[in-house]
Amino acid sequence: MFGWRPGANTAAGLTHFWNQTSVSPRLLPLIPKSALIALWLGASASSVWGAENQPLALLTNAQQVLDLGIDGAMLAPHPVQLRAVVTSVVIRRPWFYVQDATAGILVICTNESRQPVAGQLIEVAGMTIPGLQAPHVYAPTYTIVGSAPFPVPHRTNPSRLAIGEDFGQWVALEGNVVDYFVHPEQDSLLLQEGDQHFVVNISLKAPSAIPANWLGARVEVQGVCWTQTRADGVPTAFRIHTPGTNHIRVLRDGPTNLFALPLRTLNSLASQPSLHDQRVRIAGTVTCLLPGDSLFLRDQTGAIQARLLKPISEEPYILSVNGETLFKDSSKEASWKRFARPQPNLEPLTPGDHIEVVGTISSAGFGLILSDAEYRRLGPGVAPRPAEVSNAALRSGLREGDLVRWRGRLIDRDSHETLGKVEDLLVLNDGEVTVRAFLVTERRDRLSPPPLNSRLEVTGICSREMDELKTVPNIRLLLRSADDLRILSQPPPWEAWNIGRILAIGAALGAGSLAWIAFLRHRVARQTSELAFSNLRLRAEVEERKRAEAELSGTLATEKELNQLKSQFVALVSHEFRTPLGVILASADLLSDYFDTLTPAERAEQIADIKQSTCHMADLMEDVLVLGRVESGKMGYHPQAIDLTDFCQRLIDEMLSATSRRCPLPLIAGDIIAPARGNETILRHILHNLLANGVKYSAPGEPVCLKVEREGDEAVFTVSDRGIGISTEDQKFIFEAFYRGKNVSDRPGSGLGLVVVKRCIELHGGTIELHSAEEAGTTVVVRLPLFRPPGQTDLLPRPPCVPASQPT
Amino acid sequence: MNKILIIEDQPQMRRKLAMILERENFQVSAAPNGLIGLDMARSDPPDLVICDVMMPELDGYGVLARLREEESTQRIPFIFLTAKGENQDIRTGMNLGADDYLTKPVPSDELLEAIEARLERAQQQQGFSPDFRSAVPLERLGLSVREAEILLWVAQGKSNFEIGMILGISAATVKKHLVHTYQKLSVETRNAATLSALRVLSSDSR
Repeated sequence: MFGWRPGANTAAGLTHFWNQTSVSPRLLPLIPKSALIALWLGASASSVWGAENQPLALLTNAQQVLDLGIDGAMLAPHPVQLRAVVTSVVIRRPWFYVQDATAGILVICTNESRQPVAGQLIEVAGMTIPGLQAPHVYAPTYTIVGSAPFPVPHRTNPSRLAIGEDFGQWVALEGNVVDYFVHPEQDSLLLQEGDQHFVVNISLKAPSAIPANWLGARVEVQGVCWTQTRADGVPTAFRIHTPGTNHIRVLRDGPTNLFALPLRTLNSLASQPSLHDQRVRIAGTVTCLLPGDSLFLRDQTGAIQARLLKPISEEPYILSVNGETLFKDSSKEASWKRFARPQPNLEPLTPGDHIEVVGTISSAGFGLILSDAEYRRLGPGVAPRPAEVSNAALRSGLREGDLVRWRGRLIDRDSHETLGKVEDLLVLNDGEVTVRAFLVTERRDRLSPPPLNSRLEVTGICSREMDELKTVPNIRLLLRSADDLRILSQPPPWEAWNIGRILAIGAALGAGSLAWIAFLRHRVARQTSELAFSNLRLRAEVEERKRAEAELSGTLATEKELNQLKSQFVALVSHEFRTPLGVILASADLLSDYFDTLTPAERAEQIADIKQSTCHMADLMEDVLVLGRVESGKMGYHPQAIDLTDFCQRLIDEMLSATSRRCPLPLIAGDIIAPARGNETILRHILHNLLANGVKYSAPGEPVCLKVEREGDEAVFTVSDRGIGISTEDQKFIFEAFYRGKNVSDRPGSGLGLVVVKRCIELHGGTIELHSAEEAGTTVVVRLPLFRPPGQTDLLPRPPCVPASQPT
Repeated sequence: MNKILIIEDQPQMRRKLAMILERENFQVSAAPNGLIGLDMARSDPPDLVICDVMMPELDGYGVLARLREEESTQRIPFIFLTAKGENQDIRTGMNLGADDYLTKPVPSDELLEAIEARLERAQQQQGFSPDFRSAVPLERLGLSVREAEILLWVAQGKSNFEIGMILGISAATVKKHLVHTYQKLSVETRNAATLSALRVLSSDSR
């Protein structure tokens, strides 16, 4: 290179280099061959490499620096002194690009407080450093020696640059302007060529502004290519740094009129993800205008929210009511904001206007949103008519963003004030779907809230948002004004009256009638009795209404509570599963990663722990499943005839073999002649759990006694043991899911057995009593109505269980 | 050799953690509940604490809060390793100032990675005595309130996902703010941003 070419003596030269070089031979196999050859070429050319104190050859042009290769630069810093023209300066970075007659390189210059200006001819003295993409030059300082014309660009194309070619070179390439961004310090264009998208950064901002007709134009850009690479040097993207708009040449003008883009329909946008993040043009009718430069429109095929182009704001646009986000701007993650075109002179709009909108389409939440939108008013129209919407359409999101009308009963409401605005939330239900309607009004236009239970018709913009459990979307309606709320029917007015008022009126009427009596005693007597009667009826009616209302709100509260319990339970279960899973994974990791360092006993311990945790999880799952069946009502109460003595004996035999006869299980059966009627599966769950607990918490050999007898209609089962017992404190919580006594130590258990027992007993319409004292043992008495005549058993009451009584 | 204190009430888990960490050349001590763990951490401050949340006597939140109260134990990296995996739990843990929150079951290599990362960070912060109580000083770097808040957590070694959890925003939003922040600080990497933040936060506490 540089006039010198390796010839026939290459091999000899290499050997010589290896002998001469200070690189330890041990390292040689680790260094890439290419680097060695590059080094060797460089060393041979200068003939000075070798002894450590001898300087390396001075590199005097950019090509020499590049030829060094990253590996070569890695091996040793080479001195550089060269003269080149500054092609591009990167803002706020201590580096810039230079190019001489041979090539272009990146120069890092940390000691100069001021950056050079593109077009200056400078002299750089420094040393090479390995970059990620190519060797760079580190120069503490530089000298400006004059100015020079920009070099003739190397013509290239985006697909070449994308594979990492031409890093740092002054290149020229073409592309179509897809979009542009502004930044306080530099403007950027987004160019597209084939399937490549790339950014062109324009450093010299002032006084240039991007002409409006550049959008959609085909341009030729001259600039320096910067390749973004991963840590291993693989290129991932590239961008072009260009010193100013004068290095961008428009080959073909873009449409001066944005509204010349092809017209799309909204459903075609949803079905074409390839259009996302692109500017599209749609036409439609304005359905709603929101403060903060946002509007909703619909065309024949759908509806959408359009966020209008507006000046840079740091904060994303969010409209929230009662702390709930209604609509949220999902702007790009880029550090630029898309705008800068002179704001079009927008005509004010009213709902119903026909408009054309151009904006960037992207997905937001459940639907699409049009951001940075600009519109053109085509003409006035009639006020938009809301779509009558079915519940199915509401749920499926068919009407996302559209103006719809819906009817339901008001079941809850909330309201609060911020910054002079009143935000009302109305929760409506039609027996099938719950809709949350929001209305934001000025304080003076404040809505007088309709009474609960009123039937309302609401009109508004429909949207959905996932609830916290991510199961069903919440359906929301954004009302435009108080006129969007129509009361169809109110609950009878006397619901709002109180008894006192009614009585007062009654009394007044009574007093009036007394006066009347003085004149027309005979007639009045009859009227008085009528009045008293109607008074009574009125009072009865009020009571009835009140009761109904209380019942309704009670049901609602119960359902809320149940849901909450359910999610708490799910959280508890997942927690209970995570612990044994943690043990299993840790054991498996120990066995797989540290097998050699474990003693045989330690290995056996890991395997035993895995087995034990797995069994524990299996038991837990079994209990959860049983509980789930009981709770969901799948385990119905289907009574059949049972021979209790025989049944208990079978159960005991099973238990004995399952526990390897750890404890004797004597059965004391009273005189039961009549067959009991009950559900064997449920009964089995109850007794099995109680017996298993007795055995588990007793010392081996201690008897666990099961007594069964009849008392009237009831079968009484008594399971007593002399085990560790349950403390008075623990007895309060022992029927709660996953609660286990403090004294269980390491006995396995899910904490669900007694919950299952309790629920099964409730299902059977029975009761449970628990007598226990720590260290003294536990006696559990279960009473089940198994001897009721068949007709009565179908109407079993479900009295609450007695959680615990005093220890005996 | 780095000292690690394990506070875990489940005996099998405690033993296994100790076995794994010992084999990775850590000096391990273990405590069966929060109170004992706290005593051990006070009498012989470890380089890092791994702690369960639900424990008898004193739970993990309590341990963390008390460690953070005292000068000698304030800066010990603290990792929660727990079966409580609800978002709310993670948020609580992070807000209390835990450095990491791992949910059981956790693969050992993930655990080791977390430990290495925390120890490395602790090393990095040596020489700085940053005050992480307020993000206000960071606003002097020209950052918005939100950006400063996010940088404060970045400087404490949190991932975008974790920061999102703490502040109740999406990881993508965190990332967006960070891009702005990098530009304002004229840095390219997370580490560089951390350094700038530490510098500001330390100079302020002096």
